Amino acid sequence: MELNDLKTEWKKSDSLLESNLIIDSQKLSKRKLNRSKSEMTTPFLHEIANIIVVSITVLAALVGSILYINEMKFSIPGFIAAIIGSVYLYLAITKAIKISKIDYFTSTIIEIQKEISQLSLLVLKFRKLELILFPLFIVSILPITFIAIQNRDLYNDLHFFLFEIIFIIGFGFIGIFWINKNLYDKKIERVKLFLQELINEKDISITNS
Amino acid sequence: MNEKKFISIIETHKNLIFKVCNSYCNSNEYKDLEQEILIQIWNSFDRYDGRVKISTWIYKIALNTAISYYRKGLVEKKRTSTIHESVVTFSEYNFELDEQIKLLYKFIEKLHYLEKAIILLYLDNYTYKEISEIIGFSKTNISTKINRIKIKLRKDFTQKK
Repeated sequence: MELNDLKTEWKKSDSLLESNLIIDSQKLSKRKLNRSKSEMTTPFLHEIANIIVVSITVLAALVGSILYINEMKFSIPGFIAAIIGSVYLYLAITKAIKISKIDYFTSTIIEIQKEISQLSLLVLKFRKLELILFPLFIVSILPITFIAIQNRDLYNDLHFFLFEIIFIIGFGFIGIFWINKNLYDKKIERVKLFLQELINEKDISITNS
Repeated sequence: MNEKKFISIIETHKNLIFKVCNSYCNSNEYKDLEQEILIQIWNSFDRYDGRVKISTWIYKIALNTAISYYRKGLVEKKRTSTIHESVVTFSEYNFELDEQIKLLYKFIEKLHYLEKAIILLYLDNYTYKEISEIIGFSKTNISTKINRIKIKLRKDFTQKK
């Protein structure tokens, strides 16, 4: 069979489809399309929520550290937490800006797919970094939080140090290694392959033209 | 966009949506891809500015959604479907019983996801220039790819004989 024959068959089937394919408008109007969002809406909303929560946390850690500026055992970890929080904030703002800049309407399919893949890659790499920073962030924010809210000095609490050790070793090393290896690294690899394929196709296209 | 207008647009372009869904997924996943395409059309339609034909616009959305669906399938595990049935049904003609068309879909199913998009547009009489503007390849590359598909088609159908 040649492509032209295929085209003839296709045309025939198309006219049969036209007269025999029935759209159930009741079913269609019952579908909750209004509540559904495009692919990047959820990640965008997630980043906006992230920006709000992290901003408040950074501000609280900063205020707390300034209030306890003379007690370095509280203020230094507090400032460290604020710095880590600022890194989180920077990552969240960068992601939100990049997501909002995707042009779904005037770009070609290749360009849209390339943009989304590059963004997915960036988001996954940022998530890995966020995950690595997480134990350090928790450990550094706890002393200032407890002293500011409950007036409790965690440095006098043996349980706290036990928690720190378990958290850093348990989650920090083993957990992060496991999550990165089994989740993010695999996803990154697949997105990279897809992206590479698109870039190769695009390159062939440029060479041919 | 109001619901009536949306339904009328879907009604006019039902063939197009059906063909894209059928080319990019198997019958189990059909309703999920169909739902994704409907969502994208619903969400994007207010941005339609009339610079291209409405069918081209819908085609671009449908193909882009289908390719995204393929990419998401590579990256994430498939979620359990919440859609129970498709919004389309057949009256008399059942394409599943049309042997020739079934063979054609089987052939399309084996193509690369970008080749699928190209062949669908080609079969629906889009010019090389239009296909190149939708996909983002040069006209020469579109022509090369169509030639390659022709060779594959000949080979595939000769083997079947």
